[in-house]
Amino acid sequence: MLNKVELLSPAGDLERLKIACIYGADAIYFGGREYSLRANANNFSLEEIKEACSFAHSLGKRAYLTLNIVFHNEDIALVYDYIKQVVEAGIDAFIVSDLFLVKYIKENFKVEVHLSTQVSVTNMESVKFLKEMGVDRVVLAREVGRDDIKKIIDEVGLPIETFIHGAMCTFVSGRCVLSNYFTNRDSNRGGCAQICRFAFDINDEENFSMAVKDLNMSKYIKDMIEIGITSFKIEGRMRSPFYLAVVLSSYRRIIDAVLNDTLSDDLLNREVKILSKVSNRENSTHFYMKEADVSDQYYLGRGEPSNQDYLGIVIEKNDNLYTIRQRNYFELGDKIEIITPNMDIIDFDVDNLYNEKMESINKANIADSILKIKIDEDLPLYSMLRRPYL
Amino acid sequence: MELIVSVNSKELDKYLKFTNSFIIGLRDFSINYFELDLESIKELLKKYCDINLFVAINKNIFNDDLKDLENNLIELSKLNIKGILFYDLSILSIVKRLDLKLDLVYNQGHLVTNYNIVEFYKTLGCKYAYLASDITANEMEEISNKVDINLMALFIGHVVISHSKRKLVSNFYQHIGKNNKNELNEITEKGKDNKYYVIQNKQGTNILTKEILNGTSAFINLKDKLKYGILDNNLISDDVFLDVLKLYKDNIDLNITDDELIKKVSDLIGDYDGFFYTKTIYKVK
Repeated sequence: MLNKVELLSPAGDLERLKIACIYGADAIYFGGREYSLRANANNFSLEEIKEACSFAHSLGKRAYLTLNIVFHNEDIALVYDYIKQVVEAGIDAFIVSDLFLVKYIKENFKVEVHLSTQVSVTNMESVKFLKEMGVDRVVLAREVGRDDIKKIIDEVGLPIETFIHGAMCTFVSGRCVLSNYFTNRDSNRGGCAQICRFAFDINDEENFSMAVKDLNMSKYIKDMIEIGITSFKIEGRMRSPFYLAVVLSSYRRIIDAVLNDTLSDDLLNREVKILSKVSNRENSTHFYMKEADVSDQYYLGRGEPSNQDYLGIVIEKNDNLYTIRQRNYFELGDKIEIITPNMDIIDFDVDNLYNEKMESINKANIADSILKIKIDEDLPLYSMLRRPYL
Repeated sequence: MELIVSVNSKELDKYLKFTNSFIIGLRDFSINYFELDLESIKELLKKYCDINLFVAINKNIFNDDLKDLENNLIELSKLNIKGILFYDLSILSIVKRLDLKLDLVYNQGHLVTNYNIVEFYKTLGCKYAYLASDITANEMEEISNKVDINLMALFIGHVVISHSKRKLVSNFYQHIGKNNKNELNEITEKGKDNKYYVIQNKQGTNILTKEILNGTSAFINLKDKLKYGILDNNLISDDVFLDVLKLYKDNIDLNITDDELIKKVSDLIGDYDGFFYTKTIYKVK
């Protein structure tokens, strides 16, 4: 009997949080306006945190706040009151890096504390120690391989969270301050300038790169569930709503199929194909089955063409007339796909198209414009139109 | 303030006129320290019986390392070790679980940045804390004012600014079909003059500043606040390093003034003062 697992999504703002909730996430993590490692994401005000928790809870989902900067003295004074307010807003867990916060939160509030990957926990002795300290869950370092994860789970029994998809750090989390030295932006306080993606020369050679491929664990989800991982984390609080919808729905289908014992090669191959297409970057499984090696890095001529697959999102419906907020160019006659929060993928030929005034038009070529389309399907709000993936 | 030298060999005589406190790494368990195995550490302590020896165990520990780590800690606890600089929580856990007689230095690199975390590790039994190199001298002073613990900080040396478990350099050379046997490499940011050292060894890849940190002004401001100032000899020629070490010692002994110290050290290694007087940016406006 396999345990139920959690699909954990990032959200950079309230819209993304709602998209994540309806596209299959079991829980959502996001940052407040302070103390979060993505200082330049929109992030959430206290009012928005309250709304986010309320929305997530209404759908039976959980909401986690990242409080995972590495604190400097000047950051400390106001954090205690902030934690109290976030707890009152309804948060289910804090994700923290600084251990003094574990003690404070556990002594004062009835919420979970998850230890951030920023602490780079890599072994069962440390996890045992953290369990005794009151930590409710550990996000393991990205460098921990499959057998070590299994051993930690088997020996300690503390819920374990691991990344399954998205960009990877080249360096051990918490042990990299390249950004501080190259740009003065504090990598451990949310200012990471991704120096590992810059181009360098090394010794007498040109075009040395330290960048690594994205993570994509879709082929190993069944194994990860079987070894007992509790939470499957998607990276990317800065990612678009479309990216979240596609990635979450793919992993939702894979996870559900594993748990229902209906996972087939066809289903898996289809989702792997979708996931490879949406992220637009090469990917690998990095440390999961082996030490990361030459195959896990980017070198010369890394290709990352801009992704124009996302055509629009349904923001209103009136019977079979749908109001769409347009994102990328499409026109009459195009064959497109519609993805829905119900996990459906529907083929559609664009045979009608109107502007906001219901005047017939031939093409959608103005980003963020409001369009209307008649579609003979019952589509939920937040369904998305995209170029065909399959 | 007392001086600690992070050494570049097991020949300590060259330092002994200036200090008797040292840091070395433990073979296979350290990153960016000169390493000795356990037997060599025992020999070192026999040869130099009056020194204060700190042992740095600062790699990330994986399950397969735990048994050896525990055995090493047990053996180290039988020696006259001044303290263990630890990164991984497993070390703290093992020392407490086995009630080993080892004093611990909280040394989680870039995470040692505020008074609360230092106080927290003090309550867990740590006797010392090694402050991050990316906080300011004022922040260090504030920590010293708020926490009654023995603090140490790096004032001279190439600063380690990132560590990866990946073999980034050999992977690159393998990809372009060339051999590179250098452990020490140099990278230059494209279109700029920023140069950094890259060291690849069996623990992975580390990037260090090519410039030598000169924290002399901060040293002067903090010498009554911190217990130890660390001077790191690694990648610095002995001639230059020993001159700097002598100047620091002369200043502590009141043989040269603060102004003389600043001027002479600057002449030897330049004026790169890291983040002692520069705050990092939290949010980009």
